[in-house]
Amino acid sequence: MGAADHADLVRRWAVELMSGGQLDLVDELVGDTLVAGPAQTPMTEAPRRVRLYVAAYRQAFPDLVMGVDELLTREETVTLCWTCTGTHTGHFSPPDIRTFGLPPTGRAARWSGITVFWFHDGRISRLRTAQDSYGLLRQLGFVPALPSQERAA
Amino acid sequence: MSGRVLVVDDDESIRELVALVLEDAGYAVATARNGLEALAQVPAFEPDLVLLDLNMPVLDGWQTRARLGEDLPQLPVVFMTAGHHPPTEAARHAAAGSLPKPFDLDQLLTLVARFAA
Repeated sequence: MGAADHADLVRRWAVELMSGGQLDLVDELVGDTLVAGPAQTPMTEAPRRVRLYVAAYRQAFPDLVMGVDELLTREETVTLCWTCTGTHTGHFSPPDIRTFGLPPTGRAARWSGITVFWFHDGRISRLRTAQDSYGLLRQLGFVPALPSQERAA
Repeated sequence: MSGRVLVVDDDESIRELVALVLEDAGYAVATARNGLEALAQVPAFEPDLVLLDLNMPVLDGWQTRARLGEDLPQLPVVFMTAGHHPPTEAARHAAAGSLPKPFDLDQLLTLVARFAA
C-alpha cells in the first residue's frame, strides 16, 4: 500500500468515520494495536477504543463535521490538518480530556487540530494529535476566557 | 488489583468509557443500561461496587438502590449524579457516596479504589 492509499485511509477517517459516524469502518481503518495519546503508548483493543472516542464526540456533537484543511503525504506518514464544527447538544465525555458527563450547552463550536498517521499492513498503526482543546472548552463555556479576552469583550 | 465494578448508566458514552478506564486500571467490569439490567447482573457478577446513574429509563437509580438494599444491604453503591443532588441525599438513600457529573478520571479512580481495590 503506497502513499496514495494511505492518504485515502486518512480521508476516509475524516469524512466517513468522524463526519459520517460510520463506526463499522473502524476495523478496516485501524490495526488491533494502536500507538496513540500524549504518552504515545501502545494500546490493545484499538478498534474498541477508537469507536468509543468517535462515539463520544459524535454523541456530544451529532452534526460533527471534520473538514480536511490539508493532507500532506510522506513515505511513512500522512499529516491531516483538520477543522471540526458541531453543535453541542449531547453529553460530552471526551476521553482525550479525561472528563465524563459534561452537560450539553447548545452552543456551536469550531476547533482545529493536526493529526499525524503512521501505517502498518494497510491500516493505521499510530497517530499523534495536537488539537485546540482549550478553545473548544472555552467556546462551550466550560473554561473561562483569559483576562485580556474578557477586557476585549 | 481485582475488584469488580458494575457500571450502570443509560448514557452509552459514559458507561462504556468508564468501563474502559476501569478495565485499564485492572478492575473486572460489567455494564448495564438501566436498573433492571443491573439487578439481573448482580447475582452472577457479584460486584464489589456499583456505580449507579440516577436518571435512567425502565428503573431509575433511586429504585435500583432500594431493591439492592433489600437483598444486598452491604453492597456499596455510588450515585453518579447530574450535580443537582447533594451528598446528604445520597446518604439518606444509603448510598456509599456520590460522584457528581461532570467528573474527571482521577476522581473516578480514587473513589473506586476506596471500595473495590
